[in-house]
Amino acid sequence: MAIFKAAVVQLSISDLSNKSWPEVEKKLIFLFSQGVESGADLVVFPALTGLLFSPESRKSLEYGFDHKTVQLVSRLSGFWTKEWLDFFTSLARNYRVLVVPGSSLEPTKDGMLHRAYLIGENGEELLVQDQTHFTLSQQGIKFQPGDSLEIAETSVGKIGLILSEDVWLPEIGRILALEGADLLINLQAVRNFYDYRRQLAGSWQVAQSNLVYVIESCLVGRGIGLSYQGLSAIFASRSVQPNAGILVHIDPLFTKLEEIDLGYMISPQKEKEGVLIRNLDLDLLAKHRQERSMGRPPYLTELSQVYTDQVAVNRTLGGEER
Amino acid sequence: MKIPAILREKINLEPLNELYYEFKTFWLVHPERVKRIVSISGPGGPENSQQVKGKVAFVRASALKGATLADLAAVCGEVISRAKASGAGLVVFSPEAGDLLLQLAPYKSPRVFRQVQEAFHSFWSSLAAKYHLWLIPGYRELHAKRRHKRVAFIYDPEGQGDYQTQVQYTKEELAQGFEPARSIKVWQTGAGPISLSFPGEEQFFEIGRVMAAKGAKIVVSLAAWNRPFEVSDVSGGWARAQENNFYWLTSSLTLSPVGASIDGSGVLAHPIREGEDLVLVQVNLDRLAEMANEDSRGQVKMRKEFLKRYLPTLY
Repeated sequence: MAIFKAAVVQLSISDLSNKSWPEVEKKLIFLFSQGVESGADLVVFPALTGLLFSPESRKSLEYGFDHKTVQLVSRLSGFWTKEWLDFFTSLARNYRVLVVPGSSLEPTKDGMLHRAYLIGENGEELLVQDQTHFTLSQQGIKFQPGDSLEIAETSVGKIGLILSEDVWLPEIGRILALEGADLLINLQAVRNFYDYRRQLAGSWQVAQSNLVYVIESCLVGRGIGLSYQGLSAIFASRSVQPNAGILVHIDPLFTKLEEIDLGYMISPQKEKEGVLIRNLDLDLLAKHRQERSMGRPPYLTELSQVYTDQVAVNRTLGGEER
Repeated sequence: MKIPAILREKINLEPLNELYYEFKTFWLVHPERVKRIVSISGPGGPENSQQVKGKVAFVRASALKGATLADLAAVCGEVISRAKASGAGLVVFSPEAGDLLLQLAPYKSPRVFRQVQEAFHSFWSSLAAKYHLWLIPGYRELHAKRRHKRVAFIYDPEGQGDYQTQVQYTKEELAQGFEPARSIKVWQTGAGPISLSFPGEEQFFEIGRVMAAKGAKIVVSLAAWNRPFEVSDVSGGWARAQENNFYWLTSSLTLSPVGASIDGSGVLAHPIREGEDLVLVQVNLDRLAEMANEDSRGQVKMRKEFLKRYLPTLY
């Protein structure tokens, strides 16, 4: 499909503790239908959406994760993961759209995984992606990294998923792009502080470096023990999309930007709920890629040494070896 | 010998002229002559100036004019001397310094130009040795038949030279025969460990990764003088600074990790006043070290063993 329509949900958990499950369900269906009614072929929900599907996991979403979370995941995640995936699978099947239902926590032998799915129009699982990098504090509460990076061939194009911290490692976006992805979907649930700079160093950067479309979908809102902030958006390379490569942004000011403004960092939209909808043109993307593809880096030997810690330091001048 | 007018019109004297000036230029820019002239022209270096870590001087090469080699050596020496007196540990000349000596060519032809450029190394290496300072005189395009490359030279305080060839060219440049280097270098200069980046290379995170892995703390961008801050700087030098915990410098822009900048933006634009030909940039290398030692609980450590399964093979 050369042109397809994507809908990106920025989901708020504010006031979640005062909401019954039918109210939460109603909200999810409302956000989903906003995308579907506008003709979207793909609807994306943010990271940790799966945790809305049981009272226990909702609490952990509102209070934050700690060393007890792994026990909760081990005991109950089978239940909420099934509810969550059944819910979105039936929506995907009924409306014949691709759905990224966000992500959830799932148990593994030594801890827990942060895992996202891509569901096809027939309700089939097209892609399962685990987060591959965690902070040291996340590792301390038993988050286990995933061990593969894959993309899925779908009716709209080749799609890869990027979870949370992975987006700030340029290697992850590059690997998925080299595997052939046209669209990378970044699912975020950033605790406490998120701003434009972090986005520019993350999703926006992945779009510029790899000539792919990048969707960022964020969980936002105030929980009881913490708050989530995000700035959902769709990005393209600047060569494909003028306005600094920003196709659509939860903060309308950014969509109108002719140039990047690093001085504007505190956006009032960081906790706002909403759905962004935009057409993405894969033919246009393919044309630009063909023009700009650079092939293998000539310094490949040195680059591969970066990942094996065997970098040689030149000693020709001022030759202090590290 | 007088050539009759009728023959003068019919004979092409250009090759003779060129040959004459080629011989003349050969003596004009003979390395020993250049060394001698540089050593006696211009001010002597300040004796007791202390080099400050993280201090880099940028010089507008287009402001350097001279009718003779001695004049040119004197104006270059004057600006290097000022930079040294201010504590700079490295002086970076804007890109056009690569062709600075061409203004001395007595005749405008490729062979004479080539002859003049033969003096490049002796001129800059003598300046570096005279003022006992690290120098980067812009960059040059070198051509040999259908093979081309862009090369930046660097001279240490002893006058020893080394070079960095551009590693990443555009598709069009590669088609024209530009040959990329296979290696990226880092030098321990008076200003700190530096690496060089040619325009366009900043868009490739891989280059920044190699520089950082080799220990670079300052990346000197060989960008045009007083270039304004653009979106490409955010996807380029700014992003590389965030990913690798180093500084990215041009004459008019300091890009740093956000934690190392006062306002948290990671951007310090220092537009240059008209007529200004020397800009001093000071970065805080200790701050980079502090950041590396700060609470690392929120930091993500790259899983090299995981990434290496993909990255060398997928390109």
